[in-house]
Formats: sequence, structure tokens, C-alpha cells
Amino acid sequence: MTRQTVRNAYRGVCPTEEEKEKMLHSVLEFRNLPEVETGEYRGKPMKTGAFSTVAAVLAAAAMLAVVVWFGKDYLLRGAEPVDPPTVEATESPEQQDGFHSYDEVLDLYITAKRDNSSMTECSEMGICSMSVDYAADQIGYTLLDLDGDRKKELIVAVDDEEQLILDIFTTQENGTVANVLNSISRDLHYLREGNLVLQIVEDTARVKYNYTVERIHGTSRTGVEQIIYSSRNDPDTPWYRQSDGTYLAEAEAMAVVDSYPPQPMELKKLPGLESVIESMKRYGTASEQYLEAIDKYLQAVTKKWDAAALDLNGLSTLGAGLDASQIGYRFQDLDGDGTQELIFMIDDESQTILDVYSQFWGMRSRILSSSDKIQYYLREAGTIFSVQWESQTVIEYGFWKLNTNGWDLVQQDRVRYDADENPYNPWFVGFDLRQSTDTEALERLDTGTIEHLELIRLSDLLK
Amino acid sequence: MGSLLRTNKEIMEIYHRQVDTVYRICFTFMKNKADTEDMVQDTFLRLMKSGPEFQSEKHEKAWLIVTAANLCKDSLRRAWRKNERLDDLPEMAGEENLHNPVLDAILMLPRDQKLAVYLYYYEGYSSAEIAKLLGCRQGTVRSRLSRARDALRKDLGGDAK
Repeated sequence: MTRQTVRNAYRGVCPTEEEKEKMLHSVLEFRNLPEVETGEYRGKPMKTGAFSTVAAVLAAAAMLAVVVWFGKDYLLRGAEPVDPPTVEATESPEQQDGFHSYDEVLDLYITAKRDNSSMTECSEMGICSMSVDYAADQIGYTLLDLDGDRKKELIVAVDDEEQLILDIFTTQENGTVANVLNSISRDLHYLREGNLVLQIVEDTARVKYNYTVERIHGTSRTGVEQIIYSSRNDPDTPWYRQSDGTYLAEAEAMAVVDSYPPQPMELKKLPGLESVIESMKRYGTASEQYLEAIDKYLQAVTKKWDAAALDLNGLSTLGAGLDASQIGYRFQDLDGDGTQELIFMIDDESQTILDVYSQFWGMRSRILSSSDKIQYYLREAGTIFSVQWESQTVIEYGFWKLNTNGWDLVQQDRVRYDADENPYNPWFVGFDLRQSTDTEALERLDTGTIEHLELIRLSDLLK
Repeated sequence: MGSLLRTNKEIMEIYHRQVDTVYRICFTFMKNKADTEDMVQDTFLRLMKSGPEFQSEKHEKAWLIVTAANLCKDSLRRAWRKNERLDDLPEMAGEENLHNPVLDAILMLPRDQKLAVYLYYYEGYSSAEIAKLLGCRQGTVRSRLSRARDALRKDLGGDAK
């Protein structure tokens, strides 16, 4: 054994630059977690990158616009005392037209959707990176005066029942538009009655959740209530704790969270959505592009692409090492919109899905792809079942349906298995974070299993 | 936030200097990418929340090594209490198999032995320095290294000295 031998052995044990950035990002995000005990804390800082340029332009444009549209009344308003936030924001006629301050932000959202921007690109543009998970017509916006300063904030949110807030922007005294908060995968925000915001944060190991109700003040936020959930507590100690240190049973804790009911928002569609749809249609028909996908798979098996080559060509890395007789495909209308999706599978007993392609506004779009970490299976009625290995002790199972826009998957149910949880409690946790017994969980996981599906084998095409 | 002692800039500087080392330490214990990433993050969160003032980069590195190792051990101990055989799970956890027999053999060693091997052979610490880092006697480090070499020799063949 020499030092060089050990160094060589560890050569591959190194995070990629992207992984390093991701970990660092998670660590630094920790600073943005609220601390109710300390009172006021600052919201997330304005993003840098492309949005900074926009903000600079906005600063000048907004100031000019303010003078032109609102006149001196607006300028004098800054000297008036600020009213406390109210449940129903009062609207003056000029406030109803507050959109113009934020149209650049909405343009960024439209641009991101039109260009199918990545999470990193969205982040650089200064808009919520989670927006990539939603189609343009699933994202809406509204204007609400959240902090009672008579200037409306722009709230961009997902237009569904839960109305996850993606971004909140505010117009500052100098007319510049600033980001108040945005949601990321482990830091989610929802509007609650009284113009309050409920923030749900998971820690890096996903065994701790903070439920924080907070009030917006400009770009800052003040904690109103906080419940901390930690499954790492001693088994004899309840897992929920209030900000004053009181331990609560699960039902009590949820009652506190539920005492801040949702405040429904009337969301408007992003402006200019039609033009996005039109531009997408120019890319040709999906059926032609389905042929390209099949052709690419044929290349993969004939040229024996390895995992790296498959990944580079946008195919599932699970296909590495498989030959043409082991991979098949089928067409099936998963979302019931009358057009068929193209599904590649491993043609064995498991019938693990490799890739699924859909038509997205006339354009082929790969909507899911299995990997070492997450694998998908087809269940009844077009339901997709996923198994995701998050770590040695955590497995997350999901049930998904393809949205009728043909683009994204919407989670229907979720069961999380965490062997790192407290041994005195069930290790399966449902979609709503409530625990379930092993029997219940396993029954849920078996829902909708189907018999062997007929596939067209790639080897049949090569004959 | 008042409890966070270092600025983002300071954290980032330390992170970029030491992340590779911390990652390797965590991987040595956790053996898979996902858990390793979690433990790396936990280590730097610990640094952010309670890290002491470092006298030198050497001190900084040593603190991170010890913290990372302790956090990993804690994490594995928790899993062990749940009767999970973690060593049986890497495949299920979607581990990226690095196909390196030497690394595989090192990772199979008992925790204290593989940490000693990593610190001695990879990081180049002396047995006296390792003893100081791990809070044990120098003789203990030497015997851990000796037992590790025996095990590796048996596993890999050849002359693991």
C-alpha cells in the first residue's frame, strides 16, 4: 500500500463543479431560513445576473412612469403613515393598474417559457427556478398590497388548488423592483389569510421541517408563528415544537398551521401566452420528432452507446448495456388528450420505463427519464409510478399523471419510506406528511399494477 | 442572522478550499453520493453555525475533517439503531459504483481503520497528527493502520504495507 495507490483509488471520489455549486447553494440557503425569535429578518437578496440589468432599466423606467402616470400625489404618498396590512387590500384606481411596474418581470417568465430555460438560466434571470416545473399556462400572477404600503406586490404562483407562490416582487420607494421571496425545492411559500405567507422549509437531510407564518414588509419579512418538526428528536419527545419552545402533538401542531387558512388568489394568465404557443408550433409536428427519438434509440443499441453517450444524447442511462431485443416501445395516450405518448421500456419482467416523450404544443418533449436514482413504471389509466432512492435509508414512491398540456407530470400521491425515522413510529409517511402503517403504505404502493404490456422491440425494426 | 458567525464570502472561500477533502471523508463513511452530499452540507452548516475561529488553513482543514467524520458516524449510528444493515444497502441506494477494487476494499474496512488509512495515505498526516485529530493515542492509530493493512493485504493480495 502506497500513498499513490490510495490517491489513485480516491481519484473518482470528487463532486463535479455542478454538484459543488448545488451543495454550496443549499448551505447558503440556510441563512435565509427565518428565525421567529429574532423578530425581523431580511428577505432574499435581489438576484444578480440578467435581472440586475432589467432592474436597472426598471428603476429609471418606473420612476419616469410614476411621475407621468400618478403625478405628484404618488410622490407625496411616501410621507404618509403606512397603514398596517389588512385582509382585503384596498385598491385605488392607480393601484389597479400596477402591472406596468412589473411587466419586465412577467416578460422574463414568458421568455423563460418560450426558450424552455433551465433552472440555472431562470435563476440567473432573477425568476424562480422552480418555474421550469410548470407549463406557461399553469403559471399565473396577481397584484396584491401585502404590506399595506399602498403599493401592490406582484405574486407569481402556480395556478392550481395549492397556489404555490413562485415569486413575490415589490416596488421599492425609489421605483426599483425587488424580489421579496421565491420558492425553491425545499423552501416553499403559500399565501394565507391576512396577506400572510406560510413558508415550509425542509432541511438538507429532510428530517426537519419549519412551518413559518410571516408578514411581508417591503423586502423584509417578520415571523408571526413557527412550528418546527424534527424526527430526530428523542422518541419520547413530540416531534413538533412551537417557537416558544412548547412541544406539541402532531394534531396540535397541524391545528396551529391550519389556523392560518389559505387566502385564494385570482390568478391571471401570463400575458402573451398565445404568442409562445404559436412559436412552439413552428418547430414541426411531434410525430416526425417521435421518429427521431426511435431512430436515436436504434443508434444507441447498434452503436452500443455507454451511459455517458446515452446521457449526452438525451436518452436514459439505464439503457446502457442493453441490446435491441431488450428495449421496446409503445404508443399510449397517457393524459387522455387524444394524442399518444411514446414510451420506451426495458422489455423484461419489470418493464421499467426508460424514456417517455409527449407532444407539447406540437413539439416533442421528453417528459421523464429513468436513472439510477429514480425509476418509473406504468400503472393503470396512464398513471406513472416512481421509485426514487434518495439515500441509503430513504425511498420516495410517487404516483403521477401527465398533465393534459402534455408537458409535465402532476403528482397524485406520494409515500415516503425513511428507515432513519424514529423506530417507535411508522417509517412510511404519506403525501401530507402524516404517517401511515406499513400495511396501509404497501397497499397504496400496489395501486393500479398492470399485467405485462405489449411492446415493439427495437430488434424487430432492425430485421 | 446573528447566530451565523461567518459571512457568505468567508463560507464560500472555506468551502472551495476544503469541499473536496470533506467530500472524500464523507464518502469514506457513507459510501454513496446522496448521503455524502447531505453530510457535506451538514458539515458546512455546522461550520456556518458554530465553527471556531481558525488559526490557519491547516487548523481549518483539521476541524472540518473531524466534524465531517463525527457527523457521519452520528448519522450511521442513528441508522444502525434502526437495525438497518447499511452495508447491505448501497445498491438499493443507487450508488455510483466506481469500480475500483482498492477503494472498495478501503470502504469495507471498519470505520476507524478506514479513516486512519485515508488520513495517513491520502492526506499525508503522520500517525501523531492523526492521534491528535481523533483524540486517541498514537499507538492506537498505528495499530489501526496495521490492522487495516493486514485486511487490505488479505483482500487485495500483494504487499499492502
